[in-house]
This record gives sequence, C-alpha cells and structure tokens, in this order.
Amino acid sequence: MIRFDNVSKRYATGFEALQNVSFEVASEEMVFLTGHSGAGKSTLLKLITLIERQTRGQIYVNDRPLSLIANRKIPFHRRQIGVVFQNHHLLFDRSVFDNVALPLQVIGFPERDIARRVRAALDKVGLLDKEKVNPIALSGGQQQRVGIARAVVHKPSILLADEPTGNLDDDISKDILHLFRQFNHVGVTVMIATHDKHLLEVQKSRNIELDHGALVYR
Amino acid sequence: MKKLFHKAPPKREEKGVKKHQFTPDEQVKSYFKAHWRVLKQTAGKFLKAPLDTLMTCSAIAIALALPVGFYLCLNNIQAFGPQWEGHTQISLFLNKRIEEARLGRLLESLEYWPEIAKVSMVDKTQALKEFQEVTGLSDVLSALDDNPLPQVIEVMPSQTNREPASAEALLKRLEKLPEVDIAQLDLAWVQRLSIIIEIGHRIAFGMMLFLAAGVLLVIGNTIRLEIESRRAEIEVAQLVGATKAFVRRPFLYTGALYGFIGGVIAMVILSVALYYLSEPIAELSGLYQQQKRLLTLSFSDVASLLFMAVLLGWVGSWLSVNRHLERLTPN
Ligand SMILES: Nc1ncnc2c1ncn2[C@@H]1O[C@H](COP(=O)(O)OP(=O)(O)OP(=O)(O)O)[C@@H](O)[C@H]1O
Ligand SMILES: [Mg+2]
Repeated sequence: MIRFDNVSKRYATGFEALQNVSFEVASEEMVFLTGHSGAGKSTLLKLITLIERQTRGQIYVNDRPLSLIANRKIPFHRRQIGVVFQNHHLLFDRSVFDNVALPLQVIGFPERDIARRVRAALDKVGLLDKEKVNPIALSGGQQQRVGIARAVVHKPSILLADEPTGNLDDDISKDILHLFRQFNHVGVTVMIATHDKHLLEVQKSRNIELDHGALVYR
Repeated sequence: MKKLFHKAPPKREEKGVKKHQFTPDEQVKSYFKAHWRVLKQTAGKFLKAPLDTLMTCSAIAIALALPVGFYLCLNNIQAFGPQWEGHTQISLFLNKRIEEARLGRLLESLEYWPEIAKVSMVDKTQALKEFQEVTGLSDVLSALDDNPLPQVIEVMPSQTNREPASAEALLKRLEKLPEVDIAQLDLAWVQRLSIIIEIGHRIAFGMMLFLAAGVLLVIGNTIRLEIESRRAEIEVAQLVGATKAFVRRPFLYTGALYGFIGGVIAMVILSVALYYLSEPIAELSGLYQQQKRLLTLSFSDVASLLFMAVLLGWVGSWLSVNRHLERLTPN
C-alpha cells in the first residue's frame, strides 16, 4: 500500500531530515511511526501526502510512484488519503458539521450524500449530537474526534495521523487510538506518528522507528 | 534490513473501502450546485459587512462612472454632428465666359448627381447689390457697365456625402468640370468638431485604461486581504484534495460580485449625473434647432457597462489569487 524505497529528504536549508529510508506498509495494516522530536516523522508523512517531495529514492502509494504525480494531480492523490493533525486544523468560522463536510464538498459530492456521510462519520466518533456546535466550544479530545471524522468522511483507503494524541491525557489518548483501530478493522490502512511509544496501543502494532532521519532496526 | 520489511498480515476478504462512483448527470448537477453554493456564500458574506462592501464597490463604481460618463457626453455632442454637417456646402465659381444655355445644362446635370442633394444659383445682380451695400463701393461698381462677379452655384451634398472625407471627394470631382474655375468647400466647422471629438475619444480611452487598471488594483488588493483572512481554510481544503479551481472559485465570485455591484452603483451615479445635465443640454439642443434630446443610458450601454465591471472583477481576483496561491502550494 505504502512503500518507501531508499528515500531521502533534504530541505532547502540543506538539512537532511530523512536518509535512505525503506519500509513497506501492507494494505489494511496499522503501523506506528515513532522517534524523538525532530526524528523526521512529520517529514515522512508530508512526503506521502505530497506536501513535500522526496529528494532521492521512490515512494509508492497503491503501487503508484509519487514522483510521477504532476503538481496539478496532487489533489486527486490526496483524496485517497485521510489526514489527522496534532493541532487538528479545525476551522472555527463554521459548525462541526461544516468542518467535517469540507472534504466531501472539495470532491464534489451531491448535497444529500454529504449530509448522510457527515452524520455517519460523526456517529462513528461519538459526536452526532454536536454537529451544530462551533468546534471552539469542544474539549481537546472532542476536537480531535472531529478532526478524525473529517479525515475519514470520504472513506479514504489510507489514514495518516501526526501526533493525534499530542495534547491529550492518557485515557483520552487510548480512546482515540481505539478509534483508529476500529477504522483499521473495516479495511483502512492506518499510519500513526507519535513520540509516545509507551502507549499500550502502540505496543500492540508494528512500529517503524526513526532516529535522526534514519530507520532504527531491531 | 530484511527485518524491516515485516510481512504484512494477510488481506481481509471484505473491503471496507469502496470507491465512490458518480454518474455524469450527478457530476454536472453537483458542479452547478457547488457554484451556486459558493455564490450564495459570497453574497451572504457581503451582507454581513455591508459597509466594507459598499466602500470597495463605490471605489470601483467611481472608476467606472468617470470614463463612461465622459464617453456618453462625447457621443451626445457627436449626435449634434448631422445638424452641423447640414451646413456643409460647396460653392462653384464658374468661368465668366460661359453662356446661359450651357449654364442651364450644367445645373440640370448636377441635379442628377447622386452625391448632390440640392443645387441653387446665386443671383448675380442680387449678389452685386449686397456687395455694394456691404463695401460702400457702389459708385465705383456702378461705373462698370458689366457685372464683375462670377456666376456662383451652391451645391449641397446629399445626406451621405456630408462628412469631411466624402465631401472632399465630391469637391475634387466638381473642380474638374470645365465650367468651374474654383470650387470651395465650407468645411471648417465640421472638421474642427470632428477633430475635437476624436481627441475626446482618445482621452476617454486613455482614462478608461487607467481607471480599469485602478479597478484591477482595488479588487486585487481586496482579494489579497480576503485570502489572508481565509488562509487556514485554504490550507485545510488543499490538504483534503481541493483543486486550484476549487480554491479559486469563491475568490473569483467575490471579485465578480464586487464588479457587478460596482457597475450597478456606477449606473446610479451616471443616471443622477445625466439627469442633472439634462436641462442645460436640452437648452443647447434647442439652440441648434434640434428636437429635445435627453442623455440616457441605453440598454446596450447598461449591458456593456455591467459586463465590463464583472469582467474586471473576475480578472482582478484571478490575477491576485494566482499570485498568492503559488505560495501555498508545495514546490
Ligand atoms: N520546512 C523545513 N525546512 C527545513 N528544515 C525542516 C523543515 N521541516 C522540518 N525540518 C527539520 O527536519 C527535521 C525533522 O522534522 P520533523 O518535523 O519531521 O520532525 P518530527 O519527527 O515530526 O518531530 P516532532 O516529534 O517534534 O514533531 C527537524 O530537525 C526539523 O528542524
Ligand atoms: Mg512532527
């Protein structure tokens, strides 16, 4: 599903954030991406979503080499991926419903479908009763759930999360990770970057660890 | 190294992920619905900050109204043109040795020229008398036994031959007639007027270019602020797969709507100004024996003004959005 083949990323500053990284994530697998702060976890996820381009090597998503995707085709590549961010990136000028509806509007779903799918996604994260609320009025854990609902509302085949539990306490973190596992159970390939490798959930899955931009083998 | 390529668990049979397929009909419908939604959102935003909207639109309106108003005035002055062109007249000073019969034949043949509307003979004796009165040379002149004035025929070109160019061509042909010594075209007025109008048109055109650039700048700057304030939304939209067209759309509608409202305000300004001007202009018309004519905006004036306004708004925001979105997309 996702394959890195000797991938390196050098930023414009000359800093080498990833060095010769090779790994594979199978379809419908759930893996964790761990490593110290600055290890290159976010960089790796940015390469998969084509927010950044690798400087060497090749990345395959669904067997498609990313270097062959032209800039104007990037939006269509991103539509098969759902992304959850640490600071959730919710928009506070609109309701929870409209936040979750955004990916569907972007893709051009019919209005009726949008309502149905948004409610289904909110139901899955347990926030159906909050659809009309402004996300600013929600707790951190609830906001993160809205972010997850937005990431899965268009049923992507891949779900990426960058520190989805970064600001949350352990109990809530466990709930959030459990939620990811549920999506994984219905066939979504899940990749979660976190520095918190002591989380029980993390230990249940395969772990890809980075250290100063290089993979740690053990 | 090998260890890293962990064997993935076997694929499950049931697939939770299904590709959503749209029928072409659905696609077209949702495309128009998406546009309609953006238009509604844009209009709603305008209504939320009516004063800001009004200020931007007024700046655009003034920039539009100035050159258009100037242009309308010019067209109106030009409308007096035919009246003045009625004074276009060619005087033929005939050869003195020409006899009466030939004169008659000449008059008759000129009547048949399609370029000529009217031919009239100036009475020689009458002309001499007027000349004597004006100059006070009656004694000297009456001492002559023969009338010294040449026979003069006045030719009025037909309606289609009164503009300077064709009147000049007619003059050339008349000059070549053997009976004619000198042919003189009384054109000064018409020529001067058409030159003035030509200069006016050029000024109006230059003004239009300058002010159109002004409109583009005003809209471009407004859109830039708008992009700045919606940066978070743009970033999220792009991360979930928004195309450039999708991101651009609300801004293009915003620009077009600014242009449209600006155009409507410009029309109100023009209507008020034209109403204010209508009285002195009616007087001026009366002076030139023309039936009362008021300056008004015709349907095509209105349509082209609005079209230009919307187009400027659209182009202005297009330029601005493209310039600023470049910075938001990955390299
Ligand atoms: N746009 C950039 N330009 C230059 N250097 C960058 C850029 N983005 C990240 N880096 C550098 O690359 C390294 C890896 O950054 P990255 O954000 O991938 O780390 P991370 O593993 O996600 O860390 P954290 O756990 O703190 O989020 C860091 O040293 C960072 O300074
Ligand atoms: Mg990070």
